[in-house]
Amino acid sequence: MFKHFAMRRKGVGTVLGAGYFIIIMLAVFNLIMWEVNQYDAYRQLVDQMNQVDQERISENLEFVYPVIIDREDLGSGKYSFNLTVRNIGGITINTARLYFYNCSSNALKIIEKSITGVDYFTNGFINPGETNHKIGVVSTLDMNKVPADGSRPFIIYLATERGRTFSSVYPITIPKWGGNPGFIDIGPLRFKFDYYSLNYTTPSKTVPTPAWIVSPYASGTSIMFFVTVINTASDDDIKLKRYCVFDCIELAQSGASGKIASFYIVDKDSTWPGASTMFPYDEVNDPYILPRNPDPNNPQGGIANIIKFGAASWGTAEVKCLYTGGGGYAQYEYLILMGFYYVYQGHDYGATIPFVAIRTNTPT
Amino acid sequence: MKKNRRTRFALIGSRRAISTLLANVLVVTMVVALGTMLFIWTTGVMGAYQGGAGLWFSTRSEVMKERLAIEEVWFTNVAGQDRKNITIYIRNVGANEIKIAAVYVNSTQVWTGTRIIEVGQVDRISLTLTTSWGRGSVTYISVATLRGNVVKGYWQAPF
Repeated sequence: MFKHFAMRRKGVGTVLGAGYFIIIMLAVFNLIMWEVNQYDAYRQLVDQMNQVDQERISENLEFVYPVIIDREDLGSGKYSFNLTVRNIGGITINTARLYFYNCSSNALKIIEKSITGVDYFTNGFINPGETNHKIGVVSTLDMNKVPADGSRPFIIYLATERGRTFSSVYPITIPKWGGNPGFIDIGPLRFKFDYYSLNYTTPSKTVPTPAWIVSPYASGTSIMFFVTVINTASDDDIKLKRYCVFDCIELAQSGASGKIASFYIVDKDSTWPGASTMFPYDEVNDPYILPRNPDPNNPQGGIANIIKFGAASWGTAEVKCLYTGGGGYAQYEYLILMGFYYVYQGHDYGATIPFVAIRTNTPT
Repeated sequence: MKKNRRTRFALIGSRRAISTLLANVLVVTMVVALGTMLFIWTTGVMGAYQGGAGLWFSTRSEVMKERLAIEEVWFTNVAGQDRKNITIYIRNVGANEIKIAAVYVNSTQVWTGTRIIEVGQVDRISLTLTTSWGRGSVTYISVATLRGNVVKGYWQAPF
């Protein structure tokens, strides 16, 4: 065989070429196999992370009215209560952290998962279908004082291990009536109607306070009102114009005078009616823009915005008082109408809002 | 043996065999040289491709494993700073450690640096704005990681 091969005059180049060809083909095949292997590993990772994302969006949770139950004083400044939630999603939820945001003091309390100490919670696993799950909380927060001390509510945030956040106000103040009395809808504007949605400030009461009964209110005291408005349209933002007005029609118990105190819109940074705390509304450079509703499934209908009224005339910071006739702490009723002038989809609109009825200094 | 000796003598004695021999040697040498060059070139090209593809897969995998969530945004009012502070709480819910590179408030960069958050952990970043946040204003916040992932959302300031 060797002798036969050695005696041949042709074939060495062919053999060597074939050898090289085979080596190169093997190298290319090896590369292709490596590529397939890498791609397969990458696809597995993508599938795994898609699964994680799918699990995350499967989480759904609701706070059950009245949200906080079984409040107890443990002494030493510690309190316990249960947070009631229902899992309406398709997967078990593992609570990672609780945040209690106090709207009145702007304080934030963080409650961690633990079994001892202070500011901790237990029983954070919520299985699908559980309708009255109780998360036990031990904290320095005295929820008994809410809202007995007149403070505004908490916002409770429940953060899950998968990165979702669910929230609720506490106490829930939207009455559970039929229909939808929690809102007044006119055009794309939605006016929130609950205990904490209408507030006022004066030079002596600088923290926004529910305005259903303004008391004590001395005649001649300048006042500002805060109204919660939502843009329910999902196709465009709404720009408010300086003509927006909050009209208080005076009704004296001894005979209606019918005088109207008109409070015009003021800048969003205004806090209470004072020379350096209330600013004129600049509809050109710093207008109120009510952002469009980013989520059509949001039961609130969009993003809530606080609109402030307090100016005696358009685009000024001139303070204004309610008409109360004589001096002192007179008892009056007021019917509130609001005029909202706005730009939506490039066109000017205006709407009269039959809003609320408030009073001053009444004993009950 | 006798035949081989005769062949060798015949080859030496032949006047026409040199060119055939040289041709064979030349062909073999060329095949070896070209084959070696082709092999070296192929190895280099495939190595470069493999390196690039490996880097791509590795980078994409690292990016794909990142998941973060902004749990809470707290508009703080530090004394003397006139509503210029925001604290955000970020949780790493992915399968890889994340490095926060920048935070934007209303599309303006207000924080940059490197903050590492391990898997499952939560960390907070305190921001100081150049202008005060507006009371009740809706604020657009986005958090960017070093690998290029961005998480964003709207939060409303207290009034």
